[in-house]
Amino acid sequence: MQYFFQQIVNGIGDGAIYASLGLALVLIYRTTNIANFAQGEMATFSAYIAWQMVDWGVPLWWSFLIAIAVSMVVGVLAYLLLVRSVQHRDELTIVIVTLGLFLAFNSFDGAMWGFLQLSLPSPFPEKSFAIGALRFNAELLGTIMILIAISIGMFLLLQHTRLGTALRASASNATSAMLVGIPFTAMMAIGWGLAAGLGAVSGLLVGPKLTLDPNMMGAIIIYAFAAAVVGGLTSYRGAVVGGAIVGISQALSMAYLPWLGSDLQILLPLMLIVAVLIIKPEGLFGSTVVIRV
Amino acid sequence: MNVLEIKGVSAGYGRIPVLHHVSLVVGEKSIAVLLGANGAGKTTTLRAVSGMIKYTGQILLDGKDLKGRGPDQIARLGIAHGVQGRGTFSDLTVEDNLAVGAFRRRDKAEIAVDIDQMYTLFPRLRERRKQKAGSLSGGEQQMLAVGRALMLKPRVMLLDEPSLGLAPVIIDDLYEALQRVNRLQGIAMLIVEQNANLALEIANDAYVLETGSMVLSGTARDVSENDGVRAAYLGN
Ligand SMILES: Nc1ncnc2c1ncn2[C@@H]1O[C@H](COP(=O)(O)OP(=O)(O)O)[C@@H](O)[C@H]1O
Ligand SMILES: [Mg+2]
Repeated sequence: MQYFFQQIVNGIGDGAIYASLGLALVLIYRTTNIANFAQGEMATFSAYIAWQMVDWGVPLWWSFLIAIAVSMVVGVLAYLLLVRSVQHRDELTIVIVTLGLFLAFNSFDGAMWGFLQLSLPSPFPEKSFAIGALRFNAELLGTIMILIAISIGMFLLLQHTRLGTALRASASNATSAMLVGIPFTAMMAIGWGLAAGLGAVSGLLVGPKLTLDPNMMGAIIIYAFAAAVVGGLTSYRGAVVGGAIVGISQALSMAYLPWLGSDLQILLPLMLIVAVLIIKPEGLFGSTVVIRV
Repeated sequence: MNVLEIKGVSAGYGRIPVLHHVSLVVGEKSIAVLLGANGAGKTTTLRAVSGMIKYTGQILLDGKDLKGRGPDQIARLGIAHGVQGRGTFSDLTVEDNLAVGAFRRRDKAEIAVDIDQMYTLFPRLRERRKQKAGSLSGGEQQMLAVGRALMLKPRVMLLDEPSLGLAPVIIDDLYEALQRVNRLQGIAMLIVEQNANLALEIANDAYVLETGSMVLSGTARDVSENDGVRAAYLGN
């Protein structure tokens, strides 16, 4: 029984990472109606920026902050230079553009930093705490606390600031947003910038856990999509709950279904997506998607 | 002094022309009504004013040329456009809809007072303040659209068929509110209607658009006594 709960705890830790990337996906989907397949590769790029800073001798936490800031600028530029011109085109065009972004970041990382595995130091101490029979290491607690902080921050920003209201208004009705004086393009760019910042956090959490290479986020972006789709791609709460569900189910399947092997384990979140889409196409938390002009 | 001047404006969609040298003025603190059959180009006229489509000719707000500015810039200069079919933010609450209407303003304390004023003007909105706009009835959404436009504290408010699809009692309430706002706050209005009785009653000036050309203009009284107008828009 203790083993079972320990798996759940570990699963929540991984789930928090999927959730932070999932939140980025939801943010972009809600503000620009785009499923950003490049989100994971953008996060890998963020991890490389942090690695580069560390390599240049910048203190670790500063490196991480700089990486987040650079990522946000890159997110804004990705929107302004590329996504904006296709935003109102058909879905296939948009999918292809985000896949293009995926390849662009992936090859840029490879060209800049090579395909060898690098290691990004962890920002958390190597301590662990026991609560009853369960063990929590600092990394796990830190990851969960960061996710909680991000969730609270996003809630306050979106629900309780002028900028947040303007972002929600632009997502809800582009024409009316402009007609009340909201600079629509700027809002979309800010949405992409914030999402890139959230994605960067997930990249910075994953980097030290795995090894840093251009394909680091390959499986994780799939888990993040699974998490976001559990929430219908439109619900922030859904992405967080979805992240936990995916993380826990993955941990449990690794613990109790080892005969599946690591190749089949990765199918689990996909099966979850399919199951959710069959049972409840709008997701467990999603609202019906509002068609925007 | 005129708040809004439309001078010889021609506009259309792509290569298809819709408006032909349309001219119209809205005076300080006054209400102008723009009448016309379906497809005459009324909505297109409002779209040109709020910068949603390109045009030739001139549109001036307080003497300032609006050409080349985007809708968000024009809104910040003080033109509030309530679009046909409401255009509220359906997944924002009623209160957030009103708050976002004040986006161009910085006077936080005043904004709270004005939101309260909107609730006094439209008491049904106060009851529904925490509800999403998408869940309101048609009449309530139209009131919200007007309230949101007023929150901008506009120099001039453009309303596109505000009575469309509403029950007669609700239309009466709405027009009474519009008249009150105009009297008390001096906000100028350009109201587009097909169903013209009430609009002509509260308006100072009236214009009639036919297939993209202005065929009649004058005081609201003169226009409402015109035989053609009586037959076409007043149902008698
Ligand atoms: N978005 C659009 N694209 C192309 N043509 C349009 C569009 N909107 C309106 N039109 C055309 O412009 C003409 C005038 O329309 P509109 O201004 O909406 O008239 P009204 O508001 O007086 O009913 C109509 O012939 C209509 O078909
Ligand atoms: Mg119309």
